[in-house]
This record gives sequence, structure tokens and C-alpha cells, in this order.
Amino acid sequence: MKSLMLSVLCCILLDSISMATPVPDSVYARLDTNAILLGQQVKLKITYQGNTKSKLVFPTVADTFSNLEVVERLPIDTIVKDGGSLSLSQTFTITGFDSGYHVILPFEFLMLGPKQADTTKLFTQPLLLSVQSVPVDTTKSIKDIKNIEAVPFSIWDHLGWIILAIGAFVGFILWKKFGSKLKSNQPAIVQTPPIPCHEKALKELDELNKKQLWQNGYYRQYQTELTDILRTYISERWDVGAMEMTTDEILVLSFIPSNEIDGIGYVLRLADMVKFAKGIPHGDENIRCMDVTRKFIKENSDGKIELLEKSV
Amino acid sequence: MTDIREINEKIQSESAFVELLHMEMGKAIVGQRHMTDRLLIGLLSNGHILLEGVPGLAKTLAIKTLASAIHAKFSRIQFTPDLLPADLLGTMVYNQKREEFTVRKGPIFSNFILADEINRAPAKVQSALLEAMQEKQVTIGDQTFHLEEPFLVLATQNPVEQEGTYPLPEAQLDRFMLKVIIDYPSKEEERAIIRQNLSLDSTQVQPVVSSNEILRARKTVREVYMDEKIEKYILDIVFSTRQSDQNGLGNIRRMINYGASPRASINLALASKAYAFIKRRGYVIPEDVRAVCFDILRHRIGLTYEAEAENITTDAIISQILNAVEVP
Repeated sequence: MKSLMLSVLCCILLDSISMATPVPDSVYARLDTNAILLGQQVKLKITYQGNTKSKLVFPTVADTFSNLEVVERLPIDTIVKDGGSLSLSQTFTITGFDSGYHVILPFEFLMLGPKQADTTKLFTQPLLLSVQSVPVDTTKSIKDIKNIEAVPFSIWDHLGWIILAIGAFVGFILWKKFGSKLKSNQPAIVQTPPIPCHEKALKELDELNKKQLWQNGYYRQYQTELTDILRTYISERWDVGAMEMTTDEILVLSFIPSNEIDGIGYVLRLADMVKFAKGIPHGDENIRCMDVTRKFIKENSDGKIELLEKSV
Repeated sequence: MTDIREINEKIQSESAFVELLHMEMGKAIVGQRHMTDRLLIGLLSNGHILLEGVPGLAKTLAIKTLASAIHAKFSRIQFTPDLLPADLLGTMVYNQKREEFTVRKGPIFSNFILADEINRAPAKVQSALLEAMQEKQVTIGDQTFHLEEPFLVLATQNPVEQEGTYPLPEAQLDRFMLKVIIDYPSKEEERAIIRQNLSLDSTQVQPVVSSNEILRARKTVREVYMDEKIEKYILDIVFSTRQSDQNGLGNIRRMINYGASPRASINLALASKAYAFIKRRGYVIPEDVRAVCFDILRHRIGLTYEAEAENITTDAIISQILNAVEVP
């Protein structure tokens, strides 16, 4: 019993001593396997173990080293063990495309001290990786590249389009069925053909005549309305801004027939006298103005009628 | 047609000298009817004229001839950078014999003044002239002198040489009733000018109208009948320069920095009456307004930098306005 108690005590003591003893700093590199085929991938793991308080610098592994290529690099993994020791490791997936034996040179870890002289370097052991070529059976004929393999059809991949197509089809059927009914409920829009400018002007002249303006002493209003009808007709007939033109400017318009200039010149100048000089025209002058304007509109409307008929 | 007959008859008799004046001026000046008409408008409306044109277009000859035909005094002042107000208005000179200061009147004491290249003189001289134009009087020392009527200032500007000039400020430009742009004569007119200048016969311009007749005509011009419709037309035009979004002129709004002043409306109305008088008519028609519109408005509309960058002139803007405002 005493010996048992002593041995248990010794074990506990030894264990506590071993736990208290600091783990020495060590670094190592390991490969999953030492031999791969061309292009095959292998994991390389570099590890540090120890209790260092100083700053540790992991080795910088280039994308290509020792004729081997890094395919993937994982972040540094840190494990804190019981007793405060650290284990830092980084795993790389590497591959080789050159057959032969490739020596993976030692990786250098730096432990930076407070001073430059305190900096220590640790190196992993070198590794040997054998990359072997794939054996080719030269006795067999060379085969062509394989065709692209078809992806197996899955209805779930096309479900959205199918629903959309069904929805559109249903919508079209509904529109065909009820759309015409809705349309028939709306009041029909009757499109009236535009009234030719000469017809409009002649109608306005008739209306002006009916007003009996000059007969009742409204000479000014009569002449103003008469010339407004004439100017509007010229504007619409030849597409010019006759409403913004003076009498002189209208009379020099190239498209006014030369035999009409005297006539409409008489109308416009007389209207100017009435409008701007308090002129009082005689009754026969007012009648003559109406006749000249009516004649001018009638005789110059042919082209416009033709154009309108063609456009309709 | 009786209402306007009286005023028409009066205008017919009072404006008889206009044709005589044109004929007399035609002896010395070939063509340039536009300029001579505007000189008469300025003379009849008691306004001053700013002439813009390249040298050699008979600006000096025109006003000199007008002065001769009216039997009035004429002075020509060449504006230079070293000109002083006293050179223009006059100064006090010490008389040793009498042992006192006496007034020596400057060239402004004439009926017709040609202020040649007004933008070459500094602002103080320009101001002195423009003040005299406005007030029609000059003060030298402690004495004030009224300028003799008719008093017409014709200032010229050269549009091509702008280096070393003092451009007139907008406020001073507004004091000129008309800004007339003179263009080159036509080929036929220029041929006649060559022949006239090479001819050995020297034609003397004779006075055909007196100053009193001009002063009387000025009063008659104001009697020319202007209907309300014409007044509205003038206001529509002037207001379009200020509120150009009316009459579908929104596109020119960004081109106008500031529009024409009320002085423009007054001058447009007065110049239209004067133009009707020259045409020997007793009433104003829209043609009269349009005839003088460019000369009245072109120096009263301020362009934006945007318009200047696009080489848009005030004349182009006035054209657009006239094409958009309805004629009564």
C-alpha cells in the first residue's frame, strides 16, 4: 500500500514537473505522401511548436518552389495546448508537373527578439517528393478527345420559365376572351377628318357677315376680324407666321400669286387705316374687302385640298 | 375716311422738307438711306445716335452734310485716350489784360457733334459728354450754359479694333436713343461713290431747312397718332425681352441677361412716330415699329455669357421676338 501511494505520488510529481517544463521550440514540415503522379495534389504542412513569447515569422512560400506549384494555401492555424505551449501550422496543397525527385528545401522560421542580435532562426528538415509520370500504353491507338457530356435534364432548373410561359398563355386566352368585351363597352372615338383651311376660313367669313358689324357701326371690329381670318388662312395654307407679319411683309411673300397682290393689298391696307388711323370705310369698301378675301381664299385653295385628300 | 385727315394734312405740309433734305444730302452721300433716315429720326425725336461701322463708310460726311443742309453748327471731336473733359466742354482761361478768368467754350457748343470713336476716351470724358447729352446744359466754373437747339450727338464706334478702348457701360449706352449699324454700300452705290469722288465738279450742299423748322417738326412728330393697338404691340415687344417665356420664346430666355428698360419703350414709340413722319404719314403702323425696332433695342438687351459663347447677337434675338409677337 505504501509503495502504491509512493508510485502515485511520484507519477503526479513527474507529471507536474513535465507540465512545468517548457517545450523546446521546434519546426517541422510534413507531406501526406512522398510519391505522386504528374498533376496529383499533395498536402504540405509546416508547423511550429514551442513556448516562444517573441514574435514568430512564418516562412514565405512562393507560388512555385522546387519545381512544384502551390495550388491552395490555407491560413495559419493556431492551437494552444495545455501548459501554454503553442502549435502554429499552415497547410499548402502542392502539385508537380515535372517527373522526377524534387527536394523541398528547409523552410526558415524567424523568432524576433527585442534586439536584432536576439533574433533566432529555425529550419525545417528537407523533404523529398517523387513525381512519377503516368505509364502510357504505346501499343494501343491514340483516342480522340471525349465529347462534352450532356447535363442530365432536370425540370426544377426550368420551372421559372415554365410558369412564366403558362402565365403568358393564360393571360393571352383571357385577353382574347374578355378584351373584346371591354373594348365594346368603351364609347367609340370618331375621328373627324381635319377641316380644310379654306373651308374653315369661308365658314368664318359667313359668320362674320351674319354679325352685321359694319352695318351697326363696328367698322374696326369688322376689319380686325376680317384681316385675322385672312392672315390665319395664309398661315395655315402656306405654313408661314402671317399673324406675326406686317402688311408689307405679307405682300412680298413669294407664294402669293402676283394677280392677287393688289386685291389683298387693298384689304390689308384699308384695315390698317381703320385699325391704326381711326379710318371709317364706306359700306361698299367693306363689301369689297369681304368679296376680295372670299375670292382670294377660293382661288388659292386647290392645292391644299389635293394635299389633304392625299394624306387622308 | 375723314377722322385722320386733318393730322395727315398737317404732317404732309410739315414733313415736306424731308424729301428736300434727302435730296440735298444725296448730293454728297451715295446710298446709306438707312443711316440718313436714322439721323433724321434722332433729329426729330431729340435723341442721340451711336453709329457702329468700320472706317470709311461716310459717317463723318453724313453728319457734316446734315449740318450743312440744316444750316447748323457742326463740331467733330476725335476721342483719344488723353482727351480731358475740358477739351470737350471748355474751360476757364485767365485773361491777363483784364486780370480775370473768362470762359472758353469747348466744341460741344454746336448743333451737331460727331464724337468720333467715343470708346477710345476714358470714362470721365465719356461721362462728361453723356451728361451734356442728357441735361442739354454744361457747367464751366460757376456758370451754366444751355446748349443750343437742335442738339444732336452722333457718336461712332469701330467694331473691329477693341484693344485699348473703354467700352461704354450699359447705363450710358441706354442714353443713346438709337444704335445704328452701318454696312458696306452695294456694288452699284460704290461705283457711284467712285465716280462722284473722281469728278471735277464739286457739289456744294445748300441749306434747305432751318433750325426753327426742325424744332417745329419735333412738336408735330409728337402729334402723330398712335393707336392703342400699336402701344400694345410696342409693349409686347419690349416685355418679350424681359419675360421671354411668353409668346413661345422660352428658348431665348437663357440668352438674355437683362431686358430693355422703360426708356426703350418710350424711345420705340417716339422713333416710330418720327419714322411715320418721315414717311409723311399722320399715324403709326406696325411697319414703323418694326423699322426702328432693331436700332432702338440692340444696345438695350444684355446677353448672357452663354449667348456670347455661341456668337448669338442681340439682332438675332430681336428677330426671334418680332417673329413671335403677333402684329395687331
